[in-house]
Amino acid sequence: MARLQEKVLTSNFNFKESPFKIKYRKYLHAAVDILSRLKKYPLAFVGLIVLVVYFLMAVFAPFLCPHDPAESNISIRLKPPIFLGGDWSNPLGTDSIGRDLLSRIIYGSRVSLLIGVITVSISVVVGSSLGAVAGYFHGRFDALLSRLADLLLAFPFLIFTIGAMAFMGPGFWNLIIALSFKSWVEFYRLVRGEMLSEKNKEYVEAAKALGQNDFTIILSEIMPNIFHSILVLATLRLGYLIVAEASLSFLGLGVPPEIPAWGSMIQSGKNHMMNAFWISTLPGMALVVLVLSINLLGEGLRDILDPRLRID
Amino acid sequence: MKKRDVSWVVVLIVLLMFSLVLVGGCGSKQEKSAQDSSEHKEVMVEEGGGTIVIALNTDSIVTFDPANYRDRETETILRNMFDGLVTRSPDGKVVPQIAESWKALSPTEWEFKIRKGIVFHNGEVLTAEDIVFTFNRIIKEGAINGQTAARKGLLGPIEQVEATDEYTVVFKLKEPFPVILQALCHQQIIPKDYYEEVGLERFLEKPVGCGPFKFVEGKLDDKVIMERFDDYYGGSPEIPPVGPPKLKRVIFRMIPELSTAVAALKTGEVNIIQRVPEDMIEDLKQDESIQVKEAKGTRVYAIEINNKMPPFDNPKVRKALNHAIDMDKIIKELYKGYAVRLPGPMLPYAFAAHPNLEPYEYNPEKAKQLLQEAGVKDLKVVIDTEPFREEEALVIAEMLKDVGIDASVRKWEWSVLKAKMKEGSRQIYLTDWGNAYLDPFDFLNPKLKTGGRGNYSFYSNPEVDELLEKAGKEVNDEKRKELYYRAQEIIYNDAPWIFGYAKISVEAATSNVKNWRPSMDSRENMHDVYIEE
Repeated sequence: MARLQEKVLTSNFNFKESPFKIKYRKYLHAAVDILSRLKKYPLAFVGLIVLVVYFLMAVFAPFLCPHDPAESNISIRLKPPIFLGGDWSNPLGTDSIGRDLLSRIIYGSRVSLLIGVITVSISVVVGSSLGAVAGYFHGRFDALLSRLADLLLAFPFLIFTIGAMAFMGPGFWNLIIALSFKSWVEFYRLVRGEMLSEKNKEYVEAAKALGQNDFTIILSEIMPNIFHSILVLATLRLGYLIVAEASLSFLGLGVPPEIPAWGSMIQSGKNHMMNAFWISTLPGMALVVLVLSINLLGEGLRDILDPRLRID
Repeated sequence: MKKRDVSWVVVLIVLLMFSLVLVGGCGSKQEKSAQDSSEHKEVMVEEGGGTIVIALNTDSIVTFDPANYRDRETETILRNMFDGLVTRSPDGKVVPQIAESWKALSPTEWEFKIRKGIVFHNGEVLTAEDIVFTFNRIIKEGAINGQTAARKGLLGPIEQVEATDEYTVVFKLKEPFPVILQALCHQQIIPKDYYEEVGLERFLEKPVGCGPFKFVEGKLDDKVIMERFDDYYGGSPEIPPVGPPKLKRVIFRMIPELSTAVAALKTGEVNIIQRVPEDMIEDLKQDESIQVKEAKGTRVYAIEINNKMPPFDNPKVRKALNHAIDMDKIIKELYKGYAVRLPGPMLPYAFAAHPNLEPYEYNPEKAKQLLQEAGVKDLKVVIDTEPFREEEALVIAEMLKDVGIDASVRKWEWSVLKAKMKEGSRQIYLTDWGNAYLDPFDFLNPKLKTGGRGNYSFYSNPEVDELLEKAGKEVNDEKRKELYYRAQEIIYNDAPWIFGYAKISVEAATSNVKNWRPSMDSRENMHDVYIEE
């Protein structure tokens, strides 16, 4: 961290490069730095690899799937997976109306990752910009926003989203709205707090003395220094939001039922737990592995970047 | 390093203690259950009988008031504590219970002779007064503390009930009511004096009837416990054996999840479960400690179409939908053959079911052609269903896609779906309707007559209305049949629904349950049942 800050400081005094290039290089340096340090955390590294595999799976889903995930054939319903005596035409078996489970799980990763990533991105952008403004200017705007944030935090997350989804009805964008509605608060609080402590530091005063305006200071002086905290929180929230999406889909409040999602797949197998447990269990395992690897990566990143957040 | 060793020791100790607790817990539990069963045995030797536990597929029944509910689960429980004037044998035949005999004095006047020597659980003797009181509470507006009984609708044109002497009752009707005996099977008699003395509140806390079991304790959303009534008059002479029940205790438990109920049956925690999921029947049949039995179902499952909404107001489109669905395949694969396909709207074993209708043939080509003739292109539909028929709805959506209709499925809770259907804002919906009377009067009238209370398809054909109207007033069975046949032919050709199926109701019990079989009306009358040691 100290090294990072030093780099930031020195590069700021290099007037020959354009500000855009400086910023870009700063983030690139940080990324390379993180990756090289991640090697020392094998669990986090494994998490990263698994996450990359899931992303590739989601992107290339149409090429990987043996069947159309929506195509049903009730003549082969409840077929067991290969390791329980099934055959290779449906390696992970079929569900209660004869849809191929492997294809549905692969397609399900799209919903989970897409919703997770979009929601986290929205939360990061909204939360950090509001938090930065509130923390830096610290006026009536801050007081108002902070009360709103407290209010939103007082509601349990899942119950709040269930209510919102019940109100808006199932739908991809509705789900993203419902999940983002509250999850920006975490980022708001983080950035606001960091901003409050950073804004009195010397390098900010130096930048002020150089005559930079407030928004330039926020964006190119302070933000790069708290970016790593945001990254850690974003990774940890990603796992949480994916689970939240699955919970809502399980309750039938997630994406429309035509789109395969892990939560609704787990739900659809609930009545067959006694005779075809794989319908629920396999998508459940896909979910567990994804969220576990995200959390491992997140904790590794936290150890590397922001040891202050460590709880032990 | 040293610190690490210490922590390992701590972990080991914790694990050891945990496993000790587990072992200890198991041991004492076993001991306790052994004790329990020996105590239990003593009780049984003394009093005979035993306890039976029945799982009901609901999260809560409605009430303990025999006049104020409409669901079958509540009836199933109440029927063991309350008897009716008449009842139904497991095959659906109407037999006497409290009434000894009856005759129709005229098409609008029925006389019932009451059996002598019947007492209620509190010792009160049952007379004609109690019958009159019970029925007045149901048919008079606002008779239950200002509220009108939910069961009033089931008694149709019954206008007045009079006691002509201590053991004779006469029912007076506004108009002929051909299914009056079937309707009376669903009404349970309560004691006048007790009810008037304690009032509604306390009656609900401790309901008193004259049925084979008396109420001990119970909560609507948990379980209801009842005990043998030793002074029981014996029940219907036409359903032997007659006499006091053999069981000591009957417990009904509400278990809304079917898979939970199956698991509870397998462990012996419950003795009887209803609505065994089709996919588990084979598995349960393999189990020697479990018996699986079937009864004909009295519920019609169909796919209703909104007949008012274009393009479904065109009979060609509705016929096309009938041709597009491979109902036989759905029955064979999804319901494992535990359903009977219906060619038209009615149950094949109901009175006046048309014997010569042929089910619409599965023929996607013909369906496409009919849609083309009707000028339908790029049709998009949403199929609505309750959660328990979601799989069927998804399969139907796939079949509709094969004939070029873009179909998707939406799941609803019944109460919400019902409101939406009645608004007329939905397109195609999977519904079911009970026909326990096995008579079209109780089925075609509510479902397919203009403005019928269950006419969710908004089907309206003046000719059918007239035929149903006439048949409802006709006393001659042969003539009634002819009228209903004609009505069914018209309905078949109009195809207001995608005609569906009747499920065979499959129930399972532990093998020590004797003299038990499922009823067509899905009641569980425990009077004749016993548990073998």
